[in-house]
Amino acid sequence: MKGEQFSAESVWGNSCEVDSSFSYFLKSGSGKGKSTFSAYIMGLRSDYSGEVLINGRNQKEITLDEWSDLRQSKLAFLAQDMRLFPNMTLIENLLIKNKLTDSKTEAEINSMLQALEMDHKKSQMAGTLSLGQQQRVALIRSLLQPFELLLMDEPFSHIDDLNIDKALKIILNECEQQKAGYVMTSLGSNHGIENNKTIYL
Amino acid sequence: MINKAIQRTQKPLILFLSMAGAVIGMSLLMIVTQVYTNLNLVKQGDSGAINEQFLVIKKEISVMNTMGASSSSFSAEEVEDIIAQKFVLDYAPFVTGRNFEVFAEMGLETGQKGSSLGFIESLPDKFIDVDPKDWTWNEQQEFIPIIMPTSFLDMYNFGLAESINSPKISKDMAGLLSIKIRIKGNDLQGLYYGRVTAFSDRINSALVPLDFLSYANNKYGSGDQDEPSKIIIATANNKDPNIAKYLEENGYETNNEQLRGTIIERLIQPLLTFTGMLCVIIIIMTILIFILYGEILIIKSKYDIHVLSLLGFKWKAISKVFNQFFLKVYGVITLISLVIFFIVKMLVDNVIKENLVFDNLPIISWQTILAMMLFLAMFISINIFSTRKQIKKIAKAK
Repeated sequence: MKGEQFSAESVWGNSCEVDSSFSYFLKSGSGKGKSTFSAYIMGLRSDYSGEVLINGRNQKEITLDEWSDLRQSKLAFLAQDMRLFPNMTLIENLLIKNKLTDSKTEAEINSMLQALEMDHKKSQMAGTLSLGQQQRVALIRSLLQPFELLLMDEPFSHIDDLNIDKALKIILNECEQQKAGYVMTSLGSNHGIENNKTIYL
Repeated sequence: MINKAIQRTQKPLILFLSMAGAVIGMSLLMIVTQVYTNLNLVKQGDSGAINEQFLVIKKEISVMNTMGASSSSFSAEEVEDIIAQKFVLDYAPFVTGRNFEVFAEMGLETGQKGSSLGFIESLPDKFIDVDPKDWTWNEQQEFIPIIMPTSFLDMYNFGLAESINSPKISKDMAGLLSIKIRIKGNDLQGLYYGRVTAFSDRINSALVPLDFLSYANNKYGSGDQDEPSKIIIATANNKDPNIAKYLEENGYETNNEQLRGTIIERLIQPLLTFTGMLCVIIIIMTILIFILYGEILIIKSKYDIHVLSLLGFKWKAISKVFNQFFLKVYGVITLISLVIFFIVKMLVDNVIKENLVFDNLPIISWQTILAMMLFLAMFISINIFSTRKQIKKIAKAK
């Protein structure tokens, strides 16, 4: 990804560039537009004035099929509200995403689950998991694809510190393997990670 | 796997009811179409031994000829005028027996004998569409071949047979019967045997080979050949409007009224048309219900469709899953409709066969297949189109 630019007319009054060779920490208070930021990048919303360019292309001109391609193999996303399929089991939720690109082996998936202490819940319906458990599953799911940029919208809001460390390890490991960058949004603390850059909203 | 993501959002009962509606619509459509085409076949009739494009013409019976004021036969001038018409390709008068009596006797199943005074007529061979070797007669021959009007069979089956509780006779069975024919005239009597070789619903009296009639006229008959009261013409196209015009202008008529087709047209066809319209209404309603069901199904899966799109699934792949489900449903509907159709068809065909003595009913006519295909095509295409539209919309939105 070469870069994104937000022009000066945006609500945030800023222009910024996100380059996948870096990692970013998006800092803002509540209601300042963190989820909106993700929504623009993932093509979920286009209600902005100004310009959003994704790989040099105008966000508003990208077709639905092109978005599917981007979401499949370039942009990974962990939504704030997780968005699992409640009527499928934990493992089915992961496999349905993994099958799209055959990104990881079952063994690799299992080891990620083990690392986050979730492998004993594999056959449980995702709708019956606790929020913290769901978040861990959603996190793993977001890594089951090739990507150049990983967007995480408040990824640790329901997870305790011990698991945050483990989760971060997995994320950073994956990003390094894929030579990808990430953008992490959070209400406050950056969880002790060293990010290369900070974006303010 | 998308199937699972799309959840078990269906209520089986509602799906079942929608399908039931579609089955009713479809099978009703097929049945009505098939009955309509069957009756059309019966209506066109089985001209049998007389070719389609021959017309039998006679004069309208009016007060004038009953009172003797005008003739009910064709004069030489009238005949010349008819022959002169452009639509007449060929012509022949019906030849009748001259002044002798004919008694026909038939043995019935119950042992009774039915006999009646009848008359026989003949036409030149070129107007008869029977295998020539079946339509000869000479004195050494055992049987006289006869072409019987279908109305005689109908009359027997619906009149006599019913009243004496005798079984009905089919056309094939009639061909096996032997008819005793007694001819009286010129103080002579003769006994002959006849067999029905063929049927036609274009005539209303029994026909015998010209050879036999000439022989009978010579032996038993007397007097000159009268002016014909019935003639037959060959046309290029019976439906030529010029023909109807000419007939009407001159007070002539063909024997259409005796054709059983008219009965069908007047009584049954209106009923069918009404049922057909009812059918169309039912079909429209079932299509509506089905489409609504499909839309509800998709709306209930809105969250899942959106998440799938977010994960990177293409909207076409998602809509394919729904459409495959609908196609399966249509497959089941078609199968059940076909079963119902064939069962009902069997019943209706039996009614037609028994009551109208018509045998050549097809298993399924192309019109019915066409109706079925059109119904399905319309149904499926509306459904698929609205499904894709809906899913694309959902996949796009937040």
